[in-house]
Amino acid sequence: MVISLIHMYIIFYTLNLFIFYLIIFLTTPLILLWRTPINVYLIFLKKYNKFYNLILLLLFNLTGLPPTVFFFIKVNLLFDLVYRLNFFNILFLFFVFFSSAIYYLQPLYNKNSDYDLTSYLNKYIFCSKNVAFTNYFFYKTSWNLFNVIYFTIIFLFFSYFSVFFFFDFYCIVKSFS
Amino acid sequence: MFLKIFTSPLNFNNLDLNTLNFSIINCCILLILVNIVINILFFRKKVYKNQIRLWCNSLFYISILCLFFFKFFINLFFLNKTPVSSFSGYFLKYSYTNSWDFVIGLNSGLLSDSVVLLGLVIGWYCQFLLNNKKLFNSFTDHNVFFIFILCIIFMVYTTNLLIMFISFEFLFFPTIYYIFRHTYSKKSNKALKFLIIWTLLGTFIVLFNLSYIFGCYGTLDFKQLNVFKFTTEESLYIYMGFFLGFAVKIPLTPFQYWLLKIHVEVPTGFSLFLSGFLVKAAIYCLSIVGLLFQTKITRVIVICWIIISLFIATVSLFIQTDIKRLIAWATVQEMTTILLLLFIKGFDDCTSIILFMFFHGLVSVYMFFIIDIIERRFSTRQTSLVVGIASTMPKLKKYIFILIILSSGFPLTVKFWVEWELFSIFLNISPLILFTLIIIYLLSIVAVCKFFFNLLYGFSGQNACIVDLTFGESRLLNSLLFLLFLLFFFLGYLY
Repeated sequence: MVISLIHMYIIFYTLNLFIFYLIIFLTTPLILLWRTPINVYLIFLKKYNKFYNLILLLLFNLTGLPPTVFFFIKVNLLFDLVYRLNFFNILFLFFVFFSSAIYYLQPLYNKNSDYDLTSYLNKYIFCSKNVAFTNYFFYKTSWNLFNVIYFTIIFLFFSYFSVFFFFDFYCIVKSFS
Repeated sequence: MFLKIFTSPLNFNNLDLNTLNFSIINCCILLILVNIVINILFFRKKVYKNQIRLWCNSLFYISILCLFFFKFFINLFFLNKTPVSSFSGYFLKYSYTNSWDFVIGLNSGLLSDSVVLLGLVIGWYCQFLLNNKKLFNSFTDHNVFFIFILCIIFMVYTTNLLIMFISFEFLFFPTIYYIFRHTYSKKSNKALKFLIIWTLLGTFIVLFNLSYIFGCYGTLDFKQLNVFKFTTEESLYIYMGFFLGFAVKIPLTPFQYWLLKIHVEVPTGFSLFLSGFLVKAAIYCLSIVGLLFQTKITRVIVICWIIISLFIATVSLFIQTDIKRLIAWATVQEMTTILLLLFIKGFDDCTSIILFMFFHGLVSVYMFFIIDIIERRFSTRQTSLVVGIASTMPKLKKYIFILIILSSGFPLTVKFWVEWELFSIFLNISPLILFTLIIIYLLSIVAVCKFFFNLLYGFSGQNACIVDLTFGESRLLNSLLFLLFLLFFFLGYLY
């Protein structure tokens, strides 16, 4: 039962990240990913990306709060774990789960931001302003070879490597062993 | 189940309360689901006129409200009124068995019914004010509202601790949605952050408690958990864990920061939802958990905590400069009063708790609406700037006077009877605590009166042209006064 839960965790985590990176890398200019902070980037996504709601949903899924899949997996893991541990380990586990939820909720705090997006983005646009932020512009800037390779590397790194070092997962595996 | 109630002859001498209550709850769930489906299928596009949508949604809402009122009064008149001293006694009296007992099957007691009714009434006012006084104006808003009612029903009538917990957490999603949609200040971002982090802290504490109980005993069902005998230490740790988790959400004094922050930033429509309903839902959950795990030691610890919390909240009333922040502190103070009543009296006789919950819910709506009116006219909420209303707005003056009478616990009001009951209980337990409580409540009356009289008769030195109450605004305030008047008759019946 325990192994199957961890497998489910890995599958959903990988799937979630795959869809998340796929949308982000293939629909936005890569140059923005390098330079912009997350709150400005989310304002950009809200304005120019059709999949903004899906991106928020996937981010919210990673927090492991009630309606998401990760919540039910984590609750089942906790049901098996908590009564076996001593008080300090429970505290540590609590801190780990709580901090991971807060970490993934960070992008949601960008309400009512009055950041001047156009003046920021003008620095990175190397084309005429009539073409900028059109579907053609996004298509040309996202579907290039470098972007696809970059996506593959980043995705592989985050999905296959980070899952083993992802801290609450690591903590759970250690506790079972 | 539905057919049984309609086909069998209605005999009030031998009324099957079990069947009746279940039919009403199931019927309401069905109505809500049908309404959401109708909304999604027919009213998604803006082709249809808003009037049709308004009538359709109002019809569903009024039918649900009527059904719950009917259920509440049936339970009030026909339930066995012998006092209950233990948990098992409570569940023998109120619990029902049904085919989907796992989800719905707990008490249909008066406290549960009153929580649902309060949610329905306060939710309506919240929706009304948030949508710029146009009811069921937005497609998403009214769907969220009906999902919110569904969450309350599941939270209140479940027999499982986990389902109760998840339903309670689901109540925060409409909250987050309302903040996202209806707040316009730049600082609301920060307020949202505080709300999420603080409530998550409470959530995780409760979740860890639940997982510990499930790991040890293999169940989270109320009736099955009631059979197990917990050791004193175990029940102490479990209950204090639950108490800490829900104390963040009520909130009690060391954890009140998020509530104050949010009240200042969010629009008034949402403030009254937060103050009028959400905090009371947390009290309800805590009281249900208390039935299982409460011991004498925990009761003493919690009562001491509450009295300290009451004192801090009352002293804080004196030093506030923002009106909304002051009302938020008053909410904290009154929530702790409800908790104190609950811990002193338990579930034996919860009539005064129900009355006070209704009273505080309606008064907070009334209070926040008055603040909204003032804020719209003066464009500020600073207590030093909003003064001299008696001369500029004579119509509003009358309503503020009624508010002073209601909130200061004047004789013949609900608050007076509740305080009277509280003092009479403490007279037998400890005169020292009684003396402390009298001082605390006197201080709170002084603080509230000081604030309101300053609001009415203060001198600003400015000749501002302020418009008095409009017809719509006075009509809304009158509706609240009418509900409070009904509550007064209800009080007469119960006592």
